[in-house]
Amino acid sequence: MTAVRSRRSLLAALVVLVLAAAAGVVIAVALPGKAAARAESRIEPLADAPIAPQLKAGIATAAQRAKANGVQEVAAQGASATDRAGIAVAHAAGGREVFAFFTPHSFTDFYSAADLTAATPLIVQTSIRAASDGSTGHVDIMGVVPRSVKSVTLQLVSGSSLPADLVNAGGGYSYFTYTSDTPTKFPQNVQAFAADGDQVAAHDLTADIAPPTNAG
Amino acid sequence: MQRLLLFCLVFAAAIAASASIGVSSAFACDTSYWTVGCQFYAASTGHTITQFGGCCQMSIYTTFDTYSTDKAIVTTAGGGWISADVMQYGGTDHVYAYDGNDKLGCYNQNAGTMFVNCRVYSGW
Repeated sequence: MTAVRSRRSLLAALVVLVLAAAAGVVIAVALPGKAAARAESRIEPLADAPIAPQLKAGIATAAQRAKANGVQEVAAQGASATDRAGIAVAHAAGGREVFAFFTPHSFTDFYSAADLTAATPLIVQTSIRAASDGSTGHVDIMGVVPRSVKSVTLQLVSGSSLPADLVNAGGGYSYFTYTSDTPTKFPQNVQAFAADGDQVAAHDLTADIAPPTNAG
Repeated sequence: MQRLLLFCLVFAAAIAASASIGVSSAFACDTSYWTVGCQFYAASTGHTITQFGGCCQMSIYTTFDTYSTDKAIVTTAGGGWISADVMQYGGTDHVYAYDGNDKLGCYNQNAGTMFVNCRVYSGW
């Protein structure tokens, strides 16, 4: 009698385990965004990128001025065409990697990746937009690191941290992006780590994401 | 000995003078080039240039000492801020207007008192 009860208990436990595992699989499949919890970026040819034609033309003109070609776009995964910020990556003479930052309303000239990362292995560009009450309502960050940097982590205002996807255009540098409309999810600090886990650089974003109204 | 000492003093004074000229040149406010001027302005003062009117795109170039970045800032005609992009040292930002009356200028997010040489011009 006792043996039968034990078998039933064991069977019940197994059923619970199987159901729990199945539920986990269902949750993981149904909610990939929740499971991902990363600052995801993707890279694609600029010609295929869903950005405004005038912005695309401006970036192409800047690439021509830098005598660079094969422009690719790095942007946050899922960013909409009208609200897209990122990095345009190209190659100039001798394979020299160059890049420009862009937002929905602006773009920079192309920088030499080697020149800009000579002093620090972590370059972070920030663009912010105002909320209706004058506070910061939107933050985009775009980053560049040499390939010797193996991981980048974003520390958010909420205190949590988020690993950033590093994508590359075939050269010696990696790129990442992050965007948020939620103040608690604004990035506050970016840290870059080498393969051995040592932190090689950090960038405090406190001043960069603050609304430009704090000085007179 | 006294001549040698005098020579050293004059030589040192000459070096100090040339160094001070170099520093003042770096901070010179030549408004024929630095079109926004060399002064730091709070965003709310509206001390940016109104040139988006009748135009849709402008560029901004800045240079500065001490810090490696400042911001290209877009404000309304009244000085309310709309957006701000961090600029790398010596970089150029090309900006589209949100509205024809918007203004484009420089903002130093690192310290409110540092001077910034800021040039804004139409087109790219």
